[in-house]
Amino acid sequence: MNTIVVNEWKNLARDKGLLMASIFFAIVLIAVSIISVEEVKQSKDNQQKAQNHMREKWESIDSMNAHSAAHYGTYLYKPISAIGNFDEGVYSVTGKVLRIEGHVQNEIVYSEASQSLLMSKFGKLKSSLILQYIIPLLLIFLAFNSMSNEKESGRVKLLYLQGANTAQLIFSKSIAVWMYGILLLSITFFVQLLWLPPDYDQTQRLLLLFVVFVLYYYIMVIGTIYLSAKLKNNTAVLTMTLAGWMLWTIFLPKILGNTSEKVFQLPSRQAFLTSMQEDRSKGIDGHNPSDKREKELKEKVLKEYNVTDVKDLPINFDGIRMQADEEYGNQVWDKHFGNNYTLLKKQKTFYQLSGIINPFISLQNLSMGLCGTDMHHHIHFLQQAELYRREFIKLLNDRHAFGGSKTGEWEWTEKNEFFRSIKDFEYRNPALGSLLQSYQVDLFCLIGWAALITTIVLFKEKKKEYV
Amino acid sequence: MSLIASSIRSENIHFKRNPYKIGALLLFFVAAIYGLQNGYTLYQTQTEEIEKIKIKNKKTSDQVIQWFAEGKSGPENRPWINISDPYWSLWYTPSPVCKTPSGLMPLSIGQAEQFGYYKQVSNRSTPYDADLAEEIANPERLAIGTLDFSFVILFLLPAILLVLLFNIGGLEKDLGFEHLIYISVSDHKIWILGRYLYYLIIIVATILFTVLPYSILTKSMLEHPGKMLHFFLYTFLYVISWMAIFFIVSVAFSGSKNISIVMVALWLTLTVVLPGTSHQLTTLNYPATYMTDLLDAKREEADKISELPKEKIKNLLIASFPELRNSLHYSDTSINEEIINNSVSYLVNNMMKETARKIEVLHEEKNSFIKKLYLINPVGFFQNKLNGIADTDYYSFQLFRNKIQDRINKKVSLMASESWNKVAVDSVRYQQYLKELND
Repeated sequence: MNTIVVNEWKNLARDKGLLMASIFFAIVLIAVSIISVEEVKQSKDNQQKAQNHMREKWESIDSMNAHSAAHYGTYLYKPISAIGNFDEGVYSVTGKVLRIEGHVQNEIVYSEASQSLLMSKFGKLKSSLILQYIIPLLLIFLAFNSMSNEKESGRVKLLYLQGANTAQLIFSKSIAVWMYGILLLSITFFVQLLWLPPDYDQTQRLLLLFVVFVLYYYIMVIGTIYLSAKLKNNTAVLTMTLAGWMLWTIFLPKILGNTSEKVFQLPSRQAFLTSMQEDRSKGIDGHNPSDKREKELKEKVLKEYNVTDVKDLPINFDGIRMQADEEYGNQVWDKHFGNNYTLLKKQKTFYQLSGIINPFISLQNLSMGLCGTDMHHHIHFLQQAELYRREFIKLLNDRHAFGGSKTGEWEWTEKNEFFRSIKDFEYRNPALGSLLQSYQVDLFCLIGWAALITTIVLFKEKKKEYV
Repeated sequence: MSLIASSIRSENIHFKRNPYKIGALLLFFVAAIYGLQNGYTLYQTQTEEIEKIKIKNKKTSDQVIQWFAEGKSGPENRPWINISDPYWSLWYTPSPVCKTPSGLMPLSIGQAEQFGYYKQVSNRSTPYDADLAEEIANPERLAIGTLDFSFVILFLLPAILLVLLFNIGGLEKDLGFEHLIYISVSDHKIWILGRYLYYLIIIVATILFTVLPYSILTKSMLEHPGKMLHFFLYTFLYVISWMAIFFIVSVAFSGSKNISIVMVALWLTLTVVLPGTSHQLTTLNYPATYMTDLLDAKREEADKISELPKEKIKNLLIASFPELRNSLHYSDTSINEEIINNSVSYLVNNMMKETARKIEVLHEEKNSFIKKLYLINPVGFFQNKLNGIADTDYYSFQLFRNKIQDRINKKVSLMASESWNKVAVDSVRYQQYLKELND
């Protein structure tokens, strides 16, 4: 087997066209990696500037009523991870700015995609685009005639006479082409590692990503060479593999993505907001003194402080009322957004399971997931932001209630120190361990594909001879 | 001509005997129907959603008319509301702005899933509010994109052409009888051209055959014949361009393997690599904005205006809205604070308009850059052209934002002028508001 691998490499090395193509791809991969790293750096800088600007605004509040400050609110900006430069995932189609304020849970807005004309249906020229779409195609071109050429030229008989069997031939030729793919992968990942700021989690993610790509390339290469052995001639192999590549990478992801949305339908924005408003209106309206729930709350607080009128309370009842409204609103949010997130996760699982028929989907999912630019990370950010909003508003409402003012004292203001004491939002990516739990299906699909095709070649092709 | 006719005939025989090519054409047909159906579903969803908004708004306005009829001042649990006051009356006047989907949407979904398509306008609205976010959707599905008809034309069609055309001229070389062909035909390029023409006819017929039923369903053929013609022209131009490229490859290269490799490389370069490169270049030159100016203006500058002394606000209002000089309140010797407060949104809107204009200018700079890159991204050019015809491109949504801005202008102007004229709103007046603030 070793001799065949070495011979294959020698053949590849003799091909001047391939040599030129390899140099070209190496340069492109390095350039794309560097440009993408720079772009993400620029994006992070801009995001940090915007975040700092908003924080400065918050910290420069001289004096303000705590509830007015809740309305004034702040803005959170969705960050991108360092290896987000490798695969942009959902980053350009989702919003980046989230307004945090009292009474309302806002939508994240201002996606990059909504700021200009359409440029590309496959996203920016990132390393992932080249490594997911173009390099596998190059590997197909390198592999599609490796067995069929042997058959057409009659050399295969000679190889059989020398003791090789079909399985060994397929494996040897696959290893040779696969190693070429790994070489191109290594160039990209090496550049990524060089440019990556020292971060254990990100490095781990990057290395795992490398393994995922290695697995996918193995499936592509051995699959193509297997077809090269099975089918009659080069044209048939090329037609089949190209059709397969197009189906796997271009069409099935779109069709299955659409199907997942049809199977697990999300509500329309209008229906969603109407049902949320209906649920919320059943609760305490923060500005509505005649609400039934407020009466119950008032009675409870009056009893607690042993007084008969809110004016006699040593605290500010308005703050308690606002917080109670918030807490009811949070329950409503949990119910409705929880339902949406459940549907989105079901869609994702459906899509992940389609990796059983299309390993490209597993590769795509793992690539986005490991780069921190998938839907799980997006939802994780939104949930973290909502948790922050709740803490933020509670601090303000509690201050309004227990900060020294009495009920109805809307002119009461808090000093700058108080506003500065409220900590800024800090977002951390979910740990790799928890992320991998969400991507077990994709990992199993990739490993399963590799194992299946290896088994087929090993057991079905061992005794077959194509002469 | 007879050579072309005979090569068309012989290609017809070859096509019928080739299961791969028949399969490829069937795949194109099925994908076209699937794409059209996806677009049609979105068209229907948006149309139905807009109808629901109209019904909901009708309920709100009927409720207000009922309050007038019953002599009520507003909802019972909100005693501070006085519906005869222009401010509250206009507050309760539904002012929706909807981007009704074009009948051509099934042909190209474009950027329709990236933007919101309806908005309830209030006196505090801007065209960049959070409620204008896109429909609730799976972000990964949005990133992967929808397989719509324009995708089928722009990306699948060249691949299908590749399967149909790659062995024209090449197969003869593979089988070693190319010299026989050169002897038997007077000009082998014309012979190849004839075979290409056969597929051009088949592809164009398939496109027409698939599009026509949907254009009848959405009445776009009757309502927008010009746009339909444009769509067909650009599609035809696109098909012809690809065929011309592939024709050059068929003539310049020999052997179906070489031809197919060059064709695939060209397809990948033109549909994936160059658009991706121009996208990357654009982002490097024009990074996504975080709209900080707009957010500052909305949150702080608006408050600053409200906090100005009433006299100052009054003067600012008169300066920017001279018609107020003819109002009742203008000649009052004392300032009515409520009237001034009810009119502040007019000034805030003016300021927000200016901020929004600056954002649009920034976006336009980015778009100009994208258009310059059409030279290296011709697929992007066709993509945006088709989206533009189907009213699903950036500019269609910019028009929608302009419409929103016009409605806001109308609402705040009405609020100011009616408040300054101390109008006591009744049912008739309210219905006039409804007329003015609805399509």
